[in-house]
Amino acid sequence: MIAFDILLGLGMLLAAAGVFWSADLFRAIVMFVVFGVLLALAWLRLQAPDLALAEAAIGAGLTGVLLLDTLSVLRAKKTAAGKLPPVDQQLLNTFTSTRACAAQNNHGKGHENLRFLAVGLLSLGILIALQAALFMRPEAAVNLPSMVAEGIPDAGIEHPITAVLLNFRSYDTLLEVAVLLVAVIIGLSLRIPSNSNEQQAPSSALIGARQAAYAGVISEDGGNDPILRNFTQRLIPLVLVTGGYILWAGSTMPGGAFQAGALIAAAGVIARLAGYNIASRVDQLLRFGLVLGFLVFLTVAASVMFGGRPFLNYPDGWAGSLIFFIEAMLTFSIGLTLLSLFVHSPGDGAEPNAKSSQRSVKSGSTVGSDNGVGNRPPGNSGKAEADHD
Amino acid sequence: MSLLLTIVQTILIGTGVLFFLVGSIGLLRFPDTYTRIHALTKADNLGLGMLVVGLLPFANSPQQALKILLCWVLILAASSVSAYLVANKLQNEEPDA
Repeated sequence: MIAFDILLGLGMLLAAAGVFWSADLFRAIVMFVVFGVLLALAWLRLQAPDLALAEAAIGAGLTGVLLLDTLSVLRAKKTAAGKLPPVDQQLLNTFTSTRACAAQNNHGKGHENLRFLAVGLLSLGILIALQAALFMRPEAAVNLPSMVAEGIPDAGIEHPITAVLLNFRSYDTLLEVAVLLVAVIIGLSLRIPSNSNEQQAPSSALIGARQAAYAGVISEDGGNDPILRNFTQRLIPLVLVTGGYILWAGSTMPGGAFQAGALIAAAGVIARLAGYNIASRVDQLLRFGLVLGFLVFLTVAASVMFGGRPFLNYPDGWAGSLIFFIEAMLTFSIGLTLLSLFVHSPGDGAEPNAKSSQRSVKSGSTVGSDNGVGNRPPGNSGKAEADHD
Repeated sequence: MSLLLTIVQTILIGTGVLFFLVGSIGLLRFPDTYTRIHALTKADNLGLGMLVVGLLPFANSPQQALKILLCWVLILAASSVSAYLVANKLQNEEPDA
């Protein structure tokens, strides 16, 4: 097994180097996903299957999708860059040709080598310092694993990780969920409003870019492609069931709300890429769903105080059911949060900024929807099909 | 009996890995997207099937065996659909190819 571990470590180093050294951003993202998968394997080898699940689902899967989405939007924007204000163009250039800019800024090869040397020495120094600190650390004053093992019978849940996350250290998890909620609120508020006139032009340009990007990611007739549609229809229920299983499994073995939420988000992302626009049509419900997990968690945490208990201290005998209830709600909200970060990212043609255009597409597409497959303009076709489904 | 099983398993897994290797070499060496898809999906799916068959006797319980089979079906479906999507996209972009 030691040979496998060494190979794994070398592979991770190579993948990390690939992320930083590939001139093509697409290749860098692919290397990033590869790195995530290898990292998940490394967590497995370190006997941390919970982390492995989270890394594979969120680190490699969803982050990779978000990065690819961003890249395709940026590229589509770059081709249509003439319509954008200068600030946006500057931003675009920073993102899409960072390496080219960096190369321009370098005055000569020797300068670059010197910089590499300095960074390399600094990294080596930090590595040695960290190793030294690790070897010189004192024995832990408190044996946390044995404390967890002692506490498990009262925790109401068998799996130590879930017990730590939702009972012993539930305060941290509560704040984590709050951070996620804030992140998605910021993400949603970054959407470009279309009601103010001066921003109308870049907004529509962005929507166009997003749609064009989607035409680049999948075939432009996404929702109408019979193979993709049939595959998606069969795959999504399976992914959702797996999500439920992972949530349920979290009480006795690796699994839990975050991993299950990531799977639910993945189902949404697959649906979105296949041309189904679910999230955009239930805006109010979506907002409710986003806060539901945090709200339930906070309500349970605070309502135990009525019985004279401290904040987040579950009543005896109720811990198991309460934890599972909180986890189920968290799964739903985390799934929606991760999905929203993907579906409602800035530049998306989704509601509410596209409501007017959506409506016009709707009326237009009733005429055009009987066109043959594939000869449709990339413009708003995905949206039109989503409306028809 | 168990020795025979081990030999058969070793052969199956070894051939499976070999097919993966050949598929990956094909991915790197073939000139255009269509041939690369061909190399990847054909060779890798065959290799995957051999790996699955080779791993099945290792399964500790029927549930685990079913999970391995489920993985097999899912990977087959995903790889064939993604191969189709890539090829279809390419076909739409350059109809002459």
